Amino acid sequence: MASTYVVIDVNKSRMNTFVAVLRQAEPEAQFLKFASINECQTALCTVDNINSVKGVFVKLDSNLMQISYLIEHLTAMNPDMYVIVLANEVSLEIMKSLVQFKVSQVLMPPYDVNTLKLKMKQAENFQSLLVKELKTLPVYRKFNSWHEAISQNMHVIYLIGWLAENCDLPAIKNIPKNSTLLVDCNLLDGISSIGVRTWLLWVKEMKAAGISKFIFNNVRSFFINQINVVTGFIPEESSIDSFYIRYYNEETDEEFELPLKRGESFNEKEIVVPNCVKVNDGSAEKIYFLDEQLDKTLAFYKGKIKTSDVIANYNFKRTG
Amino acid sequence: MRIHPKSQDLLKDISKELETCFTNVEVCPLNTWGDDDCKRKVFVDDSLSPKSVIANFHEKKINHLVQKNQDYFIQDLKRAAFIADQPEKYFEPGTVLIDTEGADNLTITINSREEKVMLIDKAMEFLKRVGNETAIQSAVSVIEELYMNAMIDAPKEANKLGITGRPTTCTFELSYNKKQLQIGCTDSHGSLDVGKLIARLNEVYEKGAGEAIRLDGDGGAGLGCFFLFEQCSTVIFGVKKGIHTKVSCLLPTNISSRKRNEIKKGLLGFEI
Repeated sequence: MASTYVVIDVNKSRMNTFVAVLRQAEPEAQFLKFASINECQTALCTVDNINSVKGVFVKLDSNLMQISYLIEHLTAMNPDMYVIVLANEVSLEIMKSLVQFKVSQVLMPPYDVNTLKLKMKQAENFQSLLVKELKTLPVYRKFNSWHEAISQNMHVIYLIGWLAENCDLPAIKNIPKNSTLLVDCNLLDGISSIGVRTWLLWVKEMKAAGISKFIFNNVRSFFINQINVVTGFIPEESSIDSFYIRYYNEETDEEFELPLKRGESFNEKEIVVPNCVKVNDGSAEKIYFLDEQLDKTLAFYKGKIKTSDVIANYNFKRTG
Repeated sequence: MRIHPKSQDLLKDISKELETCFTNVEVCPLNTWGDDDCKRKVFVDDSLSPKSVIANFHEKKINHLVQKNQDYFIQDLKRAAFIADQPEKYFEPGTVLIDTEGADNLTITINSREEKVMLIDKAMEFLKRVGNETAIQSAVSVIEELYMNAMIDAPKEANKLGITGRPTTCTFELSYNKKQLQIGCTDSHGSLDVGKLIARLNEVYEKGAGEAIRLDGDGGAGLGCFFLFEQCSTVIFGVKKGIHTKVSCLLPTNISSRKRNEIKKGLLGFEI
């Protein structure tokens, strides 16, 4: 089976130049080219033979957290797939983040065939070691957060790990009134009681600093539980734009988290939740049944809640 | 156990098995409670919400409450009776409160706050065998709260009570038998006031967590035990005054979240 390599770069001509070198290193291989990580993730869900994809090369113009999501997504689909970041220069801070996200290698120009071959071999070996170690490594993540300003009055923060004691949420300063803050919870693993306190005080601080609207993305069950149990956990002027709903397979005691996004799966007026999902995670196809009391889980949602008996199909499983 | 005549409905089919053990302990339905010594009484019910469990504990000053659940009623009753009958034995290291058949065990002792990451790393390694992500998340949540209580709150409280010269160390004991997970934490202060704890829990349930949370001061948020109780099917608070506090949490595993949420909670709280 011919290997496939994925290349992601918003600059088409730069991407083609790189692919030309890659073709010399791997003359028998096939190449898939994408302008963005989102485009790549969507396309890979429909690739027939995901195991033929050996490596992904992504240009570091992209948002770092998007790279981490890409890696998480790829690991779920095919853990042997490695990611090589292409960058002109990398600061120590960015390098530390890339290591944390389990990027296999970083490659800087000029790109020549021999260096590329070596890096690809190193990436393959690194990924193989990582796959072995991941099976034995614990997954508790200490708290970390990342802030980016999308524009002067639109900011995003990413939360990672367990929000417990001695955790600092980012202090965003000098923001104009009526700013919006996007809070991405995809990599947030849990919140302890003291974390709830830290969170509430921080939200108060952010409102005082000028944030008038909070938009929450990729919210998981435990966070939804806090919203429902702790009054005022998220401000009145908040919107939850994407979240996960739990499904369960009784035979295998496995869970599946179905992502629901505003505009796709729900709007202000109505949300339709499938009663079951069929998931093909590369090794098998399994059925998972809805494992939520929707009236309780979706207590924060003001629209009409409906369920559907149409089986939803997914090609990957979020590993958490 | 001595079975109160009015318990027959709740205990039909199992009363014969219970009568042969812990004969110093009486099992009574909660609605027979009277204002008398509850130390050797295990109260039973089958329909209390978490809030009602706490309210009953608070109002009636009872020590042991077990609720009827399909799978573990006999085991829960025997456990409660064992603790009511021989509370000293609860504090013995290695006391496993779930069915020990096929159980894996782990003990971790920490001597400083700097060892928290090591604690959770080792616990998570053990928890991998539990499998289900929600169950693991709940377990880590429980460990976080037990850690805070033992390593941060307990020494402060001990100081206030004049309990000095005790090391700040605690021991976590985990057991898993493919159906239930037991997480226990023993500190070396014995400074917990069970009555005060139950009163605080009652306040949180009455007002709601959002209103009851403590946002000021150096102490915690005051929600730790509420979060603990919400995650578990049974929680046991045992205090040997001035020596040890041992909190044991039982979590159901290998079931869906829906079924987990249907389990009626039990609570044991005592001081010796």
